Order: sequence, then structure tokens, then C-alpha cells
Amino acid sequence: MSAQLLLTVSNMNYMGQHFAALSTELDDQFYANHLLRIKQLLALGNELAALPALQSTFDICLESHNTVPSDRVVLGTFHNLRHLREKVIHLRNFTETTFYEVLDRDPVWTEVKLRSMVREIRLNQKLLEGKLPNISFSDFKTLGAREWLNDEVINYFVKKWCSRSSTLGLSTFFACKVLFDDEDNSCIQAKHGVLTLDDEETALRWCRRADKSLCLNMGWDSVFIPINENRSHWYSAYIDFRRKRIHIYDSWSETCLLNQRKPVLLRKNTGLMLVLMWLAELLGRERGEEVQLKNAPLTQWVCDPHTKVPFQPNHFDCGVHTLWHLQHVLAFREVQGEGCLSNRLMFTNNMVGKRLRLAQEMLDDCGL
Amino acid sequence: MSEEEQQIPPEDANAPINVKVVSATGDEVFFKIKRSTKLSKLQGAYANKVGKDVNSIRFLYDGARISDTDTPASLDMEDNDTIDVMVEQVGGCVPCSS
Repeated sequence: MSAQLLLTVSNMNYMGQHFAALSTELDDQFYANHLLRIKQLLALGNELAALPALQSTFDICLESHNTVPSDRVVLGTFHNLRHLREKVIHLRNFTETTFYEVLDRDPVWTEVKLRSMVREIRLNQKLLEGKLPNISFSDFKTLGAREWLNDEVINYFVKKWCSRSSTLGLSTFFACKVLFDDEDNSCIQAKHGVLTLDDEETALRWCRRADKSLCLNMGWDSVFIPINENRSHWYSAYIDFRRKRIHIYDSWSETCLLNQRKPVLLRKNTGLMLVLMWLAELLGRERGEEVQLKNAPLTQWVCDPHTKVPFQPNHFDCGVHTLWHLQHVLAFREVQGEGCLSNRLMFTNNMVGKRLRLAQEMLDDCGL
Repeated sequence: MSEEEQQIPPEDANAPINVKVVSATGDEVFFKIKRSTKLSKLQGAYANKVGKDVNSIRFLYDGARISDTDTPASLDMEDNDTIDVMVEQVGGCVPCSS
């Protein structure tokens, strides 16, 4: 941008000139144009992100010297750039939301697009090898239409999204190692009775290691645990220290609805909830806060072993739902159903649009 | 116990350590390796021993994935530490019991 433009940018229709409205008709052109536009706006936004720091430095300088006429020019430029930054952020949100809405509205087209994307990578699998930790084509393809997601994909996104966040995202193996008792890691029988000091030490070692690898510096205030049941089903648990809640989220409608009607002791997830309460007490101490859930009828904590969440109407989307539980708790500290105010994060009956976004995110991360 | 520890001079940072590799079904295999040896060597040896493709299993130390360049030293491993071996997990539906 020229200096001249910087002085007058708010008067000129800079955004309109450089980012003309895109066609909203869903085709390959639409897809490519929107991807490119989002990338450009992201890059521009990142350039402008240094602005507030730059301006506060300038403000300090202003205080310590006599006013000169050029100050006004600089302040005017700052004003213009701030204005530009707001517009960039707004346009990116708008573009992303439109993009995702259009994909969600036409699951048939989206599924064809996803299939062709996976096919393209299948023909050139080397493109993917070694680019992302532990992800090869055989993992990537589990994001494909109607496929069952595998642990590598779930762990990839949990690690990526929870890095530098306030949520301790644990690996898919944490549950079978720490919360369940089964010999074959099938996560069916939750641990019960008295949990031993060994259990405590394992849980703490795993959580400390995760804290380190996510660069959280113990700054987390919630914990997300993806769970794989019997090598066939994904669901998740969430402990929120700030709002004092423990939830178990499962997109399989029968599990939720049937168990909600049962007496507490007969519910499927009651055993798991008891272990999660133990974990919350343990990690509470680790955070330096007293959490008392056992024998504490007056506790403020809410523990719901079968929280109602959007359901999967098919036999393949529970993994995508589980990743979306994480998206929601990161954004809202809860899983939102129909009342979800964010169009881009709202669950949809057919999650193929989300699959395409996840696959695209992985390819973007590979630099493809 | 403490006598044994004293026998190892503290400056010998490369003294071999014992590592226990535990499978999902609880089977244990013991290895003795130097602290500077890449753990990928141990992974290959383990996979050979149990007759599995090394790429089909996941090796974890305290829940974190062991990468190809990790060594016991880089992970601050101690004598008698455990490495967990896990197999692929997939899921789409069919919870076992409602």
C-alpha cells in the first residue's frame, strides 16, 4: 500500500476494489475462490495485527515530545489502518460463514467434492507423507465421506486446537489407560472402587506431559477427553473448572435418551462419571484449587453423565461430532444445540460439510 | 536400592536404562537401552518381536507420542519407566450397550 493510500484509505473503497463480491453459486470455482479469499484476508489480518502494539508505542512517544504537525498525519494513518483492520476481520468472518453455510446447505455437492479431494490425494499420497506428525494417507482418508474417523485424526485436531488454549486436550488413549479397566483397551468397564496411588500418578504424568506438549504452562481451566468405545464409537467428556461442571457428550441418541430416563445408578455412564469426579478432584489439586465431589452433597458442581447434544442420524459421524464437541467447548464452554448462535459452528444433520472443512484444514496445514 | 543407585556414577549420563514396553493387553517386554539411543530402534525391535508392522502401532511415553528422533535422554526417561503400545482406534457408531 502506498503512503498516499494510507492517508486516505478510509475515504477510498479499498476493500470493495480489492475484494469484490464473490458468486454464491456452488461449484468448483466457488470453492476455490472462497478458499483463496479467506487465505488472503487471513494474511492481511495477520499483517495488521501488529497495529495496536505499534500505536501504543507511538502514543508513549507522543507524551514525551512536543507536538509537531506530522503527528496529526501519523494519527490519521493509524485511524485509517484501524478502520481497515476492522473491515478485514468483518469480511473474513462474513466470507467464512457464507462459505460454510453454502457447503452445509448442499450436502450432495459437498460429498462429491470431498470424494474427489480424497481421490486426488490417494493418487499422490507422497504429498502428505511426513508433512504432519503421525498423519499418513490412511489416516487422512478416514475423514472421507461416510468413513469412520481414526485416533490419529482425532488426536491431530485435539492437539492443534488445544495448543495455547485454556483447555487441556488429552489423547484418545488417556481414557483407556486411566479411566477404564478393560484388559483390551475397549473402554467399556469404567474403573471402580478405590483408585490407587498408581492411578493418580499415571493420570498426573499424562496430564503434565499433555500440558507441556500443548504449551499451556498450567494455564488451563478445563479438560477435554475423547473416548473410543469398543473400537467402534467416539464420544467425549469435558471437565470445566471455571463453571464447575462435568459433562459426557454422546451423539448416539439412544444412549442419551434411554439413559436419561433411568435411575442414576443404572445409567450407562454413571461409573465413568464417578471416575471423572475423582479426576476432577485430582486435577483441581494440581491447579491449586480444592474440588470436593465425593461425599459432598452440597457441592456447586453439576455432573451430567448423559448431556443432551445434537445427534448423528447415521452410522458414521460420531468422530466428527466428537471433534465438534471440542470446537464448541473451546468457543462456548458447552455444546450448543439448535440455539447455537454461530452459523459456522452449528451442528448439521449431515456433517459432510464439517468433514470437508477438516480435510481442507489438514491439507492447508500441509501447505497443499 | 539406594546402594545400587550409588554404584552408577552420576556423571555417566549414558548408562543404559531398563524400559518396559506394555501392550494394550498387558503383555510386557523389557529392553535395556542407552539414554542416547533413538527410541525408533526400540520400536522396530519391539514390532519385530511381536510380529507387527511398526507403522500400525503407537508408542506413548506418559501419553505423548514418541517421535522418530526421541531418545530416553530427550524425554527425561528414568530407569524402569514404561512405554505404552496402543493400536488404531476407529469409530462411527454402534456403542456397545445403551
